[in-house]
Amino acid sequence: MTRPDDQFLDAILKDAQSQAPLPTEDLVSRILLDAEQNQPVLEPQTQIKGSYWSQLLLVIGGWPALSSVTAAGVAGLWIGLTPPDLVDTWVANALGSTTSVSFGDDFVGFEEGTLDG
Amino acid sequence: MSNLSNAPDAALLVAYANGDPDAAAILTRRLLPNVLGQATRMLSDRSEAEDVAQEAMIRLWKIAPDWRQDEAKVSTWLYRVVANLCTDRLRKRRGNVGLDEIAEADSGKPSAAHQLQSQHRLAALSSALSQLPERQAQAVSLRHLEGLSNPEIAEIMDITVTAVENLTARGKRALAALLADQRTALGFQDDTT
Repeated sequence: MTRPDDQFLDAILKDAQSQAPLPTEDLVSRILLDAEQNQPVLEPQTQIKGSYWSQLLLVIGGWPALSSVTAAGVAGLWIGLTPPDLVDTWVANALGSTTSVSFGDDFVGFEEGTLDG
Repeated sequence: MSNLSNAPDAALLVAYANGDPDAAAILTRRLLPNVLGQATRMLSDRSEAEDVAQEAMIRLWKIAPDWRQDEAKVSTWLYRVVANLCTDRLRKRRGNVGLDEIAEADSGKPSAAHQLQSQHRLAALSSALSQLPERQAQAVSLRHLEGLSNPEIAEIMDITVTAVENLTARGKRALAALLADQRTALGFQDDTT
């Protein structure tokens, strides 16, 4: 059995349930402005700025790395042009042939570098 | 916008977090009426209810980047946020507005309009809710103002269904007691609907 107090409360609750206000356009605008202000901004991927050569330099590790690569290249060239006798003999034995390299008359300093099996 | 208009709330929230320009508008149109209604029914004050609705939506925008779709429904999350915001405001009202003050404001007028009486009832209810412990107020409002089921309330309040039943039962008894002496002033004898 429903008590009078319950009927009274149910009537009030029923009244309250019927309250369904529609949002005003002003409220919607304020909320959309909040949404815009709080929307995460996706960061674009970091671009490497500068010329092609500066980017290439950056990729290989900068000037110190480039100096090392250059030194190694020069050393390799020098060893190739003026190999020690041991290498000279080994190459001749391994390949079984004689290889001569000439850089022309202007490269006087390299004359001794020819392989003459 | 048509691609998103039928998308679930959680998918729209993720789209918003990913920078979609239309997602927020769709979510607002879809969710705001319920958010504002819940706040209005608890607070009985349109201005305060709009503030609560705006604050709840701001919290939604802020949580969007961290939203995990498998955790909870957006609507469930909003029910919880609005209930918490409203009980915060109801707590601050305690001592500021008495039931007698609300109920007797127009009780002497011979021809009080039904709509005005309804407003007074809602104000008295809101004031009585502010006198309840917060969890009781939340459970009662979700059950009897929002019409949610006990399992839904249990999920929103993160408690068991049994706890919901206890809270709503005690809360409703307390409300009835708080409003008991306002029956005449709130026009109950004149309007028995």
